[in-house]
Amino acid sequence: MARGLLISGAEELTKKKIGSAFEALARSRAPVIFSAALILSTLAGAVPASDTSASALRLQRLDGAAFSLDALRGNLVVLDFWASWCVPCRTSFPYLDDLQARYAAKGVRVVGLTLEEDGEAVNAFLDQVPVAFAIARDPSGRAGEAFDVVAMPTTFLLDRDGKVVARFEGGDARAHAKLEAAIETLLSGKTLAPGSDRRVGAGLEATGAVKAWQRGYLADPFMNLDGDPITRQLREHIHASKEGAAGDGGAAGGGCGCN
Amino acid sequence: MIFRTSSASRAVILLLAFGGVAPAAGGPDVRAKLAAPPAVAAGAKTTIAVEMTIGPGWHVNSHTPSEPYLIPTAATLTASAGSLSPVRYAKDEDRKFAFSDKPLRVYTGTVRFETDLDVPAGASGDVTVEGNLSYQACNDQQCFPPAKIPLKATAKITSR
Repeated sequence: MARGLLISGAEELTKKKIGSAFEALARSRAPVIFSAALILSTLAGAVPASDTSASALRLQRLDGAAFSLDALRGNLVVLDFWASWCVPCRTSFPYLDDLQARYAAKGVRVVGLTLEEDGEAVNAFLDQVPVAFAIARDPSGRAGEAFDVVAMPTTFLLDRDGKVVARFEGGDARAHAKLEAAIETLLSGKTLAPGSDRRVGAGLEATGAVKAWQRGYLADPFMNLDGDPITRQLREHIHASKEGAAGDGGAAGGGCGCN
Repeated sequence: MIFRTSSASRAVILLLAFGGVAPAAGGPDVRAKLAAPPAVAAGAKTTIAVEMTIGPGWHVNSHTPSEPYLIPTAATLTASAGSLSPVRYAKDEDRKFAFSDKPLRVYTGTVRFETDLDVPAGASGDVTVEGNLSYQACNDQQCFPPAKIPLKATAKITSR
């Protein structure tokens, strides 16, 4: 019966049917619920894919000209997500500029990708931290979601086929050392060993709990009043439950969902 | 285990099971609430406070950050009756981080921002103070995008 539910849950899946699928699964046993939910969310794209291809992104240079990561195939690409308000990004940019200079002749290209809409802030940042590597923006606002980026800086290493092969979180010396070691490994023709990534903490990838950064979407999904309908309904349900449990008529005001 | 709850509750439990709305593991540990007494007197001023708790390892920018490109912490509130004074922000601290050459003006730990609610004489019923607390949090490695926490509190207006 459990297997049948898993199979039928997967077959029924479209994003529009998630709600009714959950309802059906909720009538079953708990272990099945967790497994089926994981399958549903994977198929729906909510769980990050393990090998993201960057070729589908349609980016722009700051002057509006089209910029495609596809055009960089044949090179190793260091794709760095940054923001003007991100101090670690300011520290990391000079390193990445130097990296580009040292490795350009070996077929390594650095691209700084900002998801910000505030062009003035972007320009001000680049005036203060000038770099020679390419700067791109994402008009669709979906690149953060495509790469499961929830914080900055997050840097990806793409192989010569445009496939993401490593992820580095943070802009400190440790992240840079791992990035450079990974580049050297790929340049030597070898493949990256497990652990070549740099992760600063569990859960910093987009999951159901923490959503990827996209245009107009605030960092904390629990607090985002503009979330999707299911999230809004669930938040109201939980908030009402907490208020009821607190018994104070709401004087404690909006909780954070962090407890 | 078989669930015997309403469909809405089952949906909540289901999503909580795979972390759909659970507190974000690894995300900024920032909480806030609006502290107000259950009753306020008409014709008097009552202090309302925003209590913000920033978890260990995290910081948010001061209301007056040390650099113009940094996003300040700000409480934006309105009252359904009477008026609110400008928010008085907690004392910030200058803290040096490994990723910055200069100290940054930040809040850490628990901080309190206050405003005075002035309810006019003769007012009655309830007064609701609501708004949001906006901030941008970082740890010692990365920075999260700007965020907002909704705030709301309702108090009964009493006669003096």
